[in-house]
Amino acid sequence: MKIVRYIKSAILLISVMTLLAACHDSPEYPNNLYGNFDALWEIVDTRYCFLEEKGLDWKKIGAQYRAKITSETTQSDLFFICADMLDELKDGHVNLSSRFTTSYYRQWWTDYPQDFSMRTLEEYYLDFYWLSTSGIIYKQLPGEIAYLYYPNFATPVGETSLDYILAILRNSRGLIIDIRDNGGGLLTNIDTFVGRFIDKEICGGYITHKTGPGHNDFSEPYPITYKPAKEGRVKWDGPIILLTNRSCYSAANSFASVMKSLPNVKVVGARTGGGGGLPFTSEIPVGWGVRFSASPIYNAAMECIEFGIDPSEGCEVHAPAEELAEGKDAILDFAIDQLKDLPLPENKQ
Amino acid sequence: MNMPRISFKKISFILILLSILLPLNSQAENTDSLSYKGSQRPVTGIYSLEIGRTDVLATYLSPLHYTGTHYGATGEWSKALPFNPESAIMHFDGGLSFCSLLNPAHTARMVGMTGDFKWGMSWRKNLPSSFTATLGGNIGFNGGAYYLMRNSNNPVQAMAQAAISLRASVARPLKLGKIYLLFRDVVTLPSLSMFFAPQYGETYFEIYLGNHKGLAHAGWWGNNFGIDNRLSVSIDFGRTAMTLGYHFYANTQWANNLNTKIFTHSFSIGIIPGGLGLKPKAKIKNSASVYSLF
Repeated sequence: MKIVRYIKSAILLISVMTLLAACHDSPEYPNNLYGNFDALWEIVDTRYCFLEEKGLDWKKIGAQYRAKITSETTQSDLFFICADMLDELKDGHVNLSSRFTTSYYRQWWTDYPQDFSMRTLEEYYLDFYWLSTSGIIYKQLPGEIAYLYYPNFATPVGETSLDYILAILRNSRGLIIDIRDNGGGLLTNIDTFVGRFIDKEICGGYITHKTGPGHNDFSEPYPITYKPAKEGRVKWDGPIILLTNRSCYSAANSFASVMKSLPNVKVVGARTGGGGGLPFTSEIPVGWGVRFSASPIYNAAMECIEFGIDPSEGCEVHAPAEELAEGKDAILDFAIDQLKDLPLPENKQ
Repeated sequence: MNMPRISFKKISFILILLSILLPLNSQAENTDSLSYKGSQRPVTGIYSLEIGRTDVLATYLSPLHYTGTHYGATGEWSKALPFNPESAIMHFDGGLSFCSLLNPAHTARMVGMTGDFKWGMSWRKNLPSSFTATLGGNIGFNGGAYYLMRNSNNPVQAMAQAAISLRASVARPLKLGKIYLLFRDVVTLPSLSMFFAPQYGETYFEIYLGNHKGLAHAGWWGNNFGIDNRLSVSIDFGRTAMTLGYHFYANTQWANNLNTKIFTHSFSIGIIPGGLGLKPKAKIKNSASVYSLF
């Protein structure tokens, strides 16, 4: 009988402990129209990081789109209802992915002038001749002005490649770094570049993380620091002009933010497209993936960079499409004008 | 909490089976572990392979439960201690597991690899009706990672935990005709721990760069509840023994508004080299050995 008593006690103890573990249940939604909609709404409500900055009444938006679900709604209809709801976030980092399509908010760049033409650059400024490595196109332009174009932060930049580029371009009055139409990629490439332009560690910005379901539940900001490139690497300490347009997004936006904080850098062109949130992926019961900004990134002055980086004062320039078609890139011309009268580096003349 | 329904059926079946089998032989052979002087204290090793089902909720990766097949390999080693071989036992447990899981819609796959080891000591007491119980504790570490292939910046949830656990077991030898059996249940209950959990939105690259704030959490039953239960029946052939078992493993964590729940049910088959000492071996004085499992 003693044994039975022991067993009963053990079962009771295990039951209590299981209840303890059950205290932290996560909401679960059924795989039906409303279940999937509610799951998506809840993910954004508890995990998306810019609801406050954007002044969105997410409850109201959710109710508005939920009301569009009817007994006639098909699964593909639901996809587009959900996609439209996500578009309210006005965030290029937000996608809903199904097996038949992926939603994508494009207005962050479609509603603005392009200010760039690759053909114009290649034909009228590079004369169809350039050097390239690590996804970077570079050339010394007439007037001894160094130029490099980096179209995609997804392409890893090799340290040795960067050594060659900066060494080849070293005898120049200034360096133009063109990141127009760069839609982002790997944040680690920012470190590689920035390390060549600084001689001591700098704080280039901050990042915070969601610590709770509330719209303002964030951790203490953590400084994002950049270190100078290692000894022996080729560096650049002369003037730099960074060219931007509205299609600079995500990592390119962060790069512009960091570069703008350096004393020898001017940002020329148009405001970048933003994308100042680190995207994470989640999913809803039907199996669709949802990507969204999860962690906000700030500049060194703790200002949100989700809405883009403005050019330096007096450096906002646009390159109208008609001029680009005629071979004139007003943004690049402005940058060349800024550098053309500067002296060549003394020790390299 | 979403517990897989299969578990209750399996547990009930085994409990019913036990309740039928145990009374069959009330004269179960009480192997003489009472004579200690000059006794041997063999290391009893149990080497098992497992296959079963796992349910994983890891909200750093996804708010959905992933389910699939669990594969494992475990080892248990135990030995009576010299200062009091009848009552004091030292044990060491280790294991590796792999699982391949799908989300409910079967549109995404997660794979997990984990490992654990535990070392501890227990106090043994002989109970009426040939039952033997142990109570003790262990310290251990388990770690691993779950990889959700389709995620962008959050493809991996790393797991790491160091814990002080309670450990209890009950065993009963039994002879059915000419078959020597040992029924045994071992429960391990992590009670105080330190475990790793990043914040939502925090990447491992950021951790690598130096943001270590808020990664380590003190755990107790309220935020890090787990249980490891191994129910087994071993058949002693003399020089070796075979063991068949059911293994239930649960590990839940709650930190930084992130929920992790892992439930595994698996069946195991293993061998015990050297046997259990239940079946008399020719030319070996049985009383000379003190076995640590019962």
